[in-house]
Amino acid sequence: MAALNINGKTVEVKAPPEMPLLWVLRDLLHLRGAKYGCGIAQCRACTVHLNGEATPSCVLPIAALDGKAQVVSIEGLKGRVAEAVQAAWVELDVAQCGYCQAGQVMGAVALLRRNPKPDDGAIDDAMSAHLCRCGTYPRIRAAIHLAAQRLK
Amino acid sequence: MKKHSLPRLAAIALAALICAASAQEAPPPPPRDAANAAFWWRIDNPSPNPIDSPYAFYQPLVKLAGAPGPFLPTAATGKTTVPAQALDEAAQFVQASKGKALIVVHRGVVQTERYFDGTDADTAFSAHSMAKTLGAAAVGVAMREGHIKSLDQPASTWLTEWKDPARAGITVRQLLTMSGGFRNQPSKELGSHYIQLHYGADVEAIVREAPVAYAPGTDFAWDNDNSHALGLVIERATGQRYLDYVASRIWQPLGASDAEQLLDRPGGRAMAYCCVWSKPRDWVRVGQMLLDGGSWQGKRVLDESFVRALRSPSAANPLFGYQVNVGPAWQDPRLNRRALEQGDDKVAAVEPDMFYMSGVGGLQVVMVPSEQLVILRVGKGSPAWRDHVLPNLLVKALRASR
Repeated sequence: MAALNINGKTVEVKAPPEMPLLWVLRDLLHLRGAKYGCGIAQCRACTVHLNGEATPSCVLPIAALDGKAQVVSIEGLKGRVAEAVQAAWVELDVAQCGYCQAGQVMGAVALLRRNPKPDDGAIDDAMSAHLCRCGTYPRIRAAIHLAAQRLK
Repeated sequence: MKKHSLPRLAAIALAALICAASAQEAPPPPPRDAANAAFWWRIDNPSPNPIDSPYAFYQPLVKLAGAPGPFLPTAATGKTTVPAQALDEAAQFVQASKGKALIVVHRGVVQTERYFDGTDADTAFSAHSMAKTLGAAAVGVAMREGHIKSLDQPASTWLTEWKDPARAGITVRQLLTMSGGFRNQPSKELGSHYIQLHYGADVEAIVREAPVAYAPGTDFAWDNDNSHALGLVIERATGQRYLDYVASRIWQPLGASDAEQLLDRPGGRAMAYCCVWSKPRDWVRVGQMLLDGGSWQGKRVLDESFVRALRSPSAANPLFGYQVNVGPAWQDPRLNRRALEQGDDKVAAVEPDMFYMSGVGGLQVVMVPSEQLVILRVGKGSPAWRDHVLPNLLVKALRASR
């Protein structure tokens, strides 16, 4: 048994210590917003927030989370920044197939909390690790700018 | 980045200066005074093998304070995600090539952790030039904290002694990528800059006297002057001692244990180019942090964009990034002394998207992002040791298992 803090609640899961967080979220807790993409932290479809940092969950063994680690998945995302990002995403119709978008949103929210007024370079720096096979990158960038503007 | 070409006149002047310097005899050795006592101690107490000196030959050492925290989880026996046979083969190779430690991490889980030759997890070793990558990481932290605005800033912003035209324009990026203009030929002359670089008692004097051998940015030469200079840049840009900065910003957030760093003299400055006496696992922490784009177990140490740049091919040498080897760097005789004689120059990387910290004698920590692998090998130098064996063996085995 391992105790984890997920979306503000402490949950007990029966999982081996080397199980990656993504498996715990999707298979044991049935939180299926974070997606399995590459399985090697190269596409970021599985991004969650770990202590506020956008972190790929597919290669993060739960044993690497100490008792105080706060995990937020897209299901638990809330607050002003999150709402602004989600609204911008809807308004600009960012998603195409949508598979990567949960990860993109998690990345965008972490970015805006850290840097409320990112320029194109800062957006590219923060977001370029998130791959999108549909090529929605220009809309992602526009939506981050829009959310930043709304948050002023 | 825009490339600046030296104005013609300056280039000619520089060429003349370089010729004059190389024709010159080495200056006389420093006097046997109190200021140079540490230097003379090193000269009077030569190590039997300078690239593999015992602990007692590193003086003075001071603490690089750690803050021990949990390590990575270990896969249960029979449950490794890297095929067990490949792990055994890797261990046999390390043991047969005078290795002392092998740690393989896949997707954040330790696959194997083996110690040989009477060592264990608590045996400290000198990380030699792997320490350089730690210095590069410290530059990344200093940028994150705003102490350094851009890598294209001249290092002379802080190294104000570099007033001469040959050195005033050397950028931080050029130092990081070993293209700062320094190329010291090995010398046994006690007064030579080469000897001072390694045994000198005053890092500031070493940096002040570093002779330029080519126009900065136009070539690559693996030279410790670059790394010494970076150590001083960090001290002066941050206003903190190099060791304090590395300890509080990198070593402690990683949960590493106490280590020791060689100083130039008692109470002096860190010899930032080498000589961190530390434990194998702590270098796996550094490697895993770099693999994970700058964060360790949810704590951000470096910006992801800095780590991406750190492990990207540099303009001066596509097999070198920021004080770190990139791709099949073993092919380059400037990075692997035995590349040609062993035929390593013809050995490809099974996965070229890799980078590795490297220290003399076959110390290495390899990171393979596309396979989520970290491989550490610590040990002595041996003709049987080859830089490419472990990454190629383990990547090949992982791919064959899919």
